Amino acid sequence: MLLLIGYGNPLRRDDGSGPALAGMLAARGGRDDLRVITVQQLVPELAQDLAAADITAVLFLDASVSGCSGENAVSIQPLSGVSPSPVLGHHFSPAELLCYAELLRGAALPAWQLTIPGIDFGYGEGLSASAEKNLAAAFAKVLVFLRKITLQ
Amino acid sequence: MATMLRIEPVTRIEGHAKVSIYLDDSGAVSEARLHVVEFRAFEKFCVGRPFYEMPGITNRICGICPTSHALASVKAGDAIMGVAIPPVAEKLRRIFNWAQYIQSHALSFFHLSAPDLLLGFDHDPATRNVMGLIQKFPDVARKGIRLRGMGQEIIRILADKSIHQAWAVPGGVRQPLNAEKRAAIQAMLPEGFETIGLALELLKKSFAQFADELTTYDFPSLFAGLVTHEGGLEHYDGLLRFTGSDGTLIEAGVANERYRDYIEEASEDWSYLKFPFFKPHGPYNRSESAGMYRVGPLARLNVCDFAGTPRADEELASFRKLGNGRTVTSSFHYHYARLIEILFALEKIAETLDDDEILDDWVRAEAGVNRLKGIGMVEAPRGTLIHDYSVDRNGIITDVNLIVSTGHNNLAMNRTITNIARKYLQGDSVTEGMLNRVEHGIRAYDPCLSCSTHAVGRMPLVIRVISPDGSVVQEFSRG
Amino acid sequence: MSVITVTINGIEGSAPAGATLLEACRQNGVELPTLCHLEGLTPIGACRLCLVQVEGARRLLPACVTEAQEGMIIQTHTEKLVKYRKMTLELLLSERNHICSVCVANGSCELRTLCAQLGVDHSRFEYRCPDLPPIDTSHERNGLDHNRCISCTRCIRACDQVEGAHTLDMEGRGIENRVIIDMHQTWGSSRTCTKCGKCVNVCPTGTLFWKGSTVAEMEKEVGFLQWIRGGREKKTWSYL
Repeated sequence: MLLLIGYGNPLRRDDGSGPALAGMLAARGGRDDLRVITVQQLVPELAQDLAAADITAVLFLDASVSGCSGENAVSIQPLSGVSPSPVLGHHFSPAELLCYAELLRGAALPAWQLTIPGIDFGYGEGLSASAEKNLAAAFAKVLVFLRKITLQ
Repeated sequence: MATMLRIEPVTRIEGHAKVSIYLDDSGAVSEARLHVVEFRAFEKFCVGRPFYEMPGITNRICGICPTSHALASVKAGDAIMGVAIPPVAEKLRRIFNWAQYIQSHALSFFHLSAPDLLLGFDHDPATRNVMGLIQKFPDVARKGIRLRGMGQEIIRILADKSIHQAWAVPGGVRQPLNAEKRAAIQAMLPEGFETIGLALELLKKSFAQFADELTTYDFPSLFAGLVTHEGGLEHYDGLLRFTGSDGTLIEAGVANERYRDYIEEASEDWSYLKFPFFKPHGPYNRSESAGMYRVGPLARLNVCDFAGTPRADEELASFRKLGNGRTVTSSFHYHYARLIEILFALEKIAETLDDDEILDDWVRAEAGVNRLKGIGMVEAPRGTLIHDYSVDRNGIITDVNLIVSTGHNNLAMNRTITNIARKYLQGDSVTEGMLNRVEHGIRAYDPCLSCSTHAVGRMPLVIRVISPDGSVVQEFSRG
Repeated sequence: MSVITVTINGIEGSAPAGATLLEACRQNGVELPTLCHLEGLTPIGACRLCLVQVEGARRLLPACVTEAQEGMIIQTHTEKLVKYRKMTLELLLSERNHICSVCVANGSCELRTLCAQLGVDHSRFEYRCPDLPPIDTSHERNGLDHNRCISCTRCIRACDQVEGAHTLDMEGRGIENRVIIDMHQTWGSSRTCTKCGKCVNVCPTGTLFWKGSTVAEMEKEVGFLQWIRGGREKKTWSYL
């Protein structure tokens, strides 16, 4: 089962594109090998969801501040490396979470991260036109990704 | 003209906080500042709401310590109603609060600070992170996740939700505990004790390698925190005590509603976080740290006479040996204090659940408006939290003053990073070790600045060395 | 009782003569969203959520106040109608200051439930963020928060038609309308209010609430309308 985690704050405009994409994928339905979780930020106890016995891979869906748009703005990258713990925040990076999950399950977990570039991270709901476009591209990209991953 | 080094960590939203290090003409550090640049206006938009809606609104200030805001708010509500809540409701609220301590302190220690503490500041940056921690201390990492999860789970069992609950209300709590829920909480406790024992052992072993830091973080200040009427460690209610660096009692026990006689808030134009100071030692003067006091785990253990549970008291005795026998003045020991408080919380939860009275279902007092002012003071994991409401006769909020825990420590945090910068900055060159220590100096206080966005692309930590003419001559970036 | 035949969404059905289109639809298993309508109060066709398309009619008709006629052909869920209903809800959301997360009626709000059912998760219209009269909690038991009002007038009708007190009324027109107490005074100073609480129970949102309610604590009970009406009209007083 593939775990999809959409995270971000829908009240900070484009930061909400991760949860928005997760919502679109959950609404689409039609597959019983997907589990979708939507959260505001990544917290340590999510490692337990990642390490659940039936999860075989995970895809993180997040916004990014790169601000690009167009065909290749959205990318799905395998997760690797770990950054230092946050200085002033209390949230985790996907890589940190993955480390904990792998510790809990005692084996590697294939993981990817999809990022949706945004430009407006101010207060308020709704995505900028540019992030909307990137969201649509991301949706298409995930569908292709999902087809591929089932073949493996 | 002085030179400024600026460290910009945190997030992409213009940074909710950043650090600037100012150099004087001779190249030495004159001061370091922690800027908090997030403004949230809660004090404004609560005006006009009924006071009983306040716990639901103010617990949204933060996703990390919503429980503390909810409790400070319901206590302000109790005061407006002028009621003594049913005794069982008070006990349930206390369990709620201790559970919050477990999850919050566990997050701070196991997930944020452990790589620094257990691997050391000069450890290879490539593995001075959770990956490195897991490789070296897999058991600690695994247990840390479960301990934090346990705190969240107790809150969920009590309030049906682990964050932003509406369970605690002015007058008491909404739902009582039942035997089944009690058993579920009790079953989790033994593992918690085991985990905290292990963490204490490892942390105490690490002190030897931090001799330098222990002195750098050491400075005199007042300490403030709640104590029980008998002078014991307190997290939910009680009297506000101020002590000096040497342990002398400055104010043995101030009634909550008189806090304004002792605490005043100053502002600086470079930070949205206010600078509270101890008024009798004023007037406010940041460079001389006039009226500076510390709150939080370290301060609470310093101001209390005893903890009040067997194992925590035993740990408190060895904690005090790190200072003058009564007071520990190095902020480095916030970490140790945090672990002792988790131990205390576990012991208190176990003790409180043991009495069958806790299952009583009379948990809410009813009353209208009987006072026009209500002050709710609790100890949040990060320190004393004050909610101060004024209402009209119909219970509509007319004025709100919130003094948040991180605020009390503002002067002390600025002092800590100034000390660190002075000690570890050599000329214009910034070293990895110095950066780590500045970060850690802030993290020791586990400040909560209510960050609210989390997109990929966390800004790298950037340090700029700017020449007197304003041009960047050196720039360091990592992360 | 004579019976008429209607066609709803292509399926033939029947309804008693004199029934409204809303009643005809519901009796034939077709659910229509409503907010201002409440069984037991006079229908007024204010919220426009129950609009339907009737063959031969030049405009859309509110089902709650339109009498079903023999042979009527009705469409209830065309693309246009669904679009309009969503738009109506979005306009309601944008009109005042609805903050669900901290609302007393969170979890029991009819506006929010309908939004969820119809897939309205935000408003495409600019929020008006109006400055409204202050919350009135001067009453011994009830509170009134204009931020959450959708002007459905259920409270006003319940007060007038069921309790017979007519304490509540409406001032202003259109977007400027406001629920008022007696001659526009505070609730606590009203001499007509019987403190029966019917208005609070019929309010579909958190506008009217029991004082002291905290977030998501309000539960409203409208069943009393049925047994009061049953008792008055049929003289059978039954709580069931």
